[in-house]
Amino acid sequence: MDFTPLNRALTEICANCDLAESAGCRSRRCLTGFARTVVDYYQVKGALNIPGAEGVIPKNDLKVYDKDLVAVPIAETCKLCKQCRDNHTDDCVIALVRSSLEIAFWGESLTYPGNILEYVTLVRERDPELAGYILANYRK
Amino acid sequence: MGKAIFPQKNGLTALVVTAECGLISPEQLAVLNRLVQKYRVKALKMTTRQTLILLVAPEELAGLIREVSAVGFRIGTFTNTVRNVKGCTGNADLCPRALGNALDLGIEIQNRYYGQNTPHDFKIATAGCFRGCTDPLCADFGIICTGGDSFNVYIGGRGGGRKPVHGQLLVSRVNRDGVFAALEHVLAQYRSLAQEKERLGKTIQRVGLPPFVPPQTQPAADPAGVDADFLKMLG
Repeated sequence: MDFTPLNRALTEICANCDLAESAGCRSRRCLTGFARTVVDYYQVKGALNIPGAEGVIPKNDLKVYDKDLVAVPIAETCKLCKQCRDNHTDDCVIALVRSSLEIAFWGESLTYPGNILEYVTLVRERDPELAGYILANYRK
Repeated sequence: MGKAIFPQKNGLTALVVTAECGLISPEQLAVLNRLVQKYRVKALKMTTRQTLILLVAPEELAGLIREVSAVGFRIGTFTNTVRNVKGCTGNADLCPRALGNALDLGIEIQNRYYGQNTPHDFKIATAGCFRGCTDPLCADFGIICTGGDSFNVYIGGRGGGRKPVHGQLLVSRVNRDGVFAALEHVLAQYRSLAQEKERLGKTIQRVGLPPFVPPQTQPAADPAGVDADFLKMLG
């Protein structure tokens, strides 16, 4: 699976962050930083699962995230999820990235229903605008 | 304990041999190669339970059993016993998806419990992650590693028959010692509560799960079991 587009989309969020490359930029405390570390881990180790990582998502990150920016990596996780032939686990790198980005908006993650249509429906119930952005990026 | 040696329709005898969770060393395989020629084994069949069936003429059986046993294979068992453990390749060296050391745990369980008497078949499976390549939910006692020294145990599963059934969660996130404690308790209760030739799942249906829950479980030291390399990268 090619994580390059996902990595690029996450980097773009950082590029728009005031804390980027400052002393306050800490992966352990930042949902985007966490997601990028997850992708780095996959690229270094080639393992799709990170045992226990779901439990250390930095849920106290209260930064304000732009919907249009965050929708891009969420859409990329949906594409990767579709490519992956493996079973879902909460500690899967794709689920970890998606969960951390969902927490950026709602403070909690959604249960991924297994396909993009049902997922977008689920998002639409909470935020129709974000659902629209995700779908648009997924179709690109 | 019944030996898994079965007459076949064509007059040959099927001899079931087991290794430690299906793990065969190159040396064992080389010897096996010599023996199948020496004893004119007609064919070998790999089974779903990680055993090997050797199809051989009845008059060759005694010599073959003696020699395969000498190289570390064990003769299969069936009916009222703890069967060989089905284990995936999940450990520190092999499957990259493994969350912990399930294979070594499976081998230790097999070496400790293989062939013990039980009311009916008692099948054990270990898996290194939730993918469960060894179908742990279809075993009488199924173990799934949840990260590091942390395991979930499911009991009462049955993969075959007219009504297959998934096992129920018995204990979650216990350490290796907790798995052994749970197994000891389940076996003791099963021997005590089961009716004649009753499979564990049926006993659970009849008496419920609570009698099988071990009185004390040893939780994993780090319940989250977070991968150390990931934490290092996270900074």
